[in-house]
Amino acid sequence: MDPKQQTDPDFIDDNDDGIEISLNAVGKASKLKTSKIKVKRKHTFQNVITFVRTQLEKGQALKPDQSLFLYINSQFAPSPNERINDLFECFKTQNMLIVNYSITEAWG
Amino acid sequence: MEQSQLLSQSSVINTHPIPQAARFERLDAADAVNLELRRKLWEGLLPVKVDLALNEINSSETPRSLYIMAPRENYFFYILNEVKWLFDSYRPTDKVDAYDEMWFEFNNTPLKWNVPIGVQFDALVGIAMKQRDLPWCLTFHYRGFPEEQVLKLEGLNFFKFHFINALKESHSLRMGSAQEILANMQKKDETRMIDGLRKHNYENFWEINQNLCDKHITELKKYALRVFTNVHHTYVQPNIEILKPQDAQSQDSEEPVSQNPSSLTLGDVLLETFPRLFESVLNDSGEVELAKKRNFEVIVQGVEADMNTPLYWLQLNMSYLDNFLYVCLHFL
Repeated sequence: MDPKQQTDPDFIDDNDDGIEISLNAVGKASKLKTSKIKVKRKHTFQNVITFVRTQLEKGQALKPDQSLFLYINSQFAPSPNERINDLFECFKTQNMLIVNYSITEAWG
Repeated sequence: MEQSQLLSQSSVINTHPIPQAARFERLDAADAVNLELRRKLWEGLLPVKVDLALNEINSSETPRSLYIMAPRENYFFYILNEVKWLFDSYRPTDKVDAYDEMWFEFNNTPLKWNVPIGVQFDALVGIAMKQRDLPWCLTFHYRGFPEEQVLKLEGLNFFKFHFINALKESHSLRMGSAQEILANMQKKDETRMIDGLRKHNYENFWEINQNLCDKHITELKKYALRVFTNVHHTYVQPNIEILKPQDAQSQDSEEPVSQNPSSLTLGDVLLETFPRLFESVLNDSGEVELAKKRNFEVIVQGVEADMNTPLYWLQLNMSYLDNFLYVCLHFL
């Protein structure tokens, strides 16, 4: 089986529930039109990275070869294969996951 | 097995109280860091055999295999120099130091640059199959990077970025904030840590990490735990809060707190997190026991884990270098 698709409902029982993410520009990064998005718990942080990048590139605020950094709570950049559900449960603030994005490395 | 013997003796050999513990009145063995175990885990090695992907050989002769002892707690970046040294002359001519296309593979599974070597071995190979599967036979690729399954390696900066951020994430969990690292960690400390990883030098690494890792349970907000498996493509990072005695006890109640936070065991957490994989069963002697509903191994640092081990002890003594405790469920 393709390891990318490999799932086991006894290990993780995924459903289609969503959680709310607030997206905040830092430094020289441009603001997004939609600063709050709903993301499914079963998705990974990579989905959020891709969303922010696509939106910025569409608005010509980021070139495809430019770096983009996404942080949680202005503290750390999670691994892209971390689950949204886990990030939300571990790090939520007032029932929302706070994501900060920057075009340069921030927060050490 | 050497490591499991050490585990059982852990409270009596070469322990030192963690620095912050002195101001707390009640101390027990679980508050102590076992330095001998810490060094043994650092020195844990896996025999690995690396071959170059056959379809990528740009030469009529086949390169020999590389046999190497890989440090379990370190990352694949650590063995990359030796791998490249042996295979670089056979590589496709258009791929000169294209780090972002290089990857290791085991049995059609791409391995991850940002997960410790030992965690991936425990999840994918486990304990029972170990003898058959050692040395661990891996294939190295210069191209065909499996987009989306693995993070791209972009040289030393990638390695540094992902390690420091994992360290900050575990600190955010355990201490409620990564402020201690953001405010106090100097460039030279970071360099010393990364240097410790690049050269696998225990003193360099632990001189800096000791203060970040060794926290008394009363300072901790949550545990930093990740569970990997060979049956699911993502890992689980459960939210495990540490209840303070004052939370569990109302002000005027005279009843003692029934549950000491340090008595939470690995079994308690696995039962709570994976109700479809574990259940509580009353055994013949009338005691409640944790039973598995399917056939799998629970592995921490290469050793089958005892479900009754306090989670705090594991966090303090058996965490990997980013201060996350990695537990692997290997399904047979």
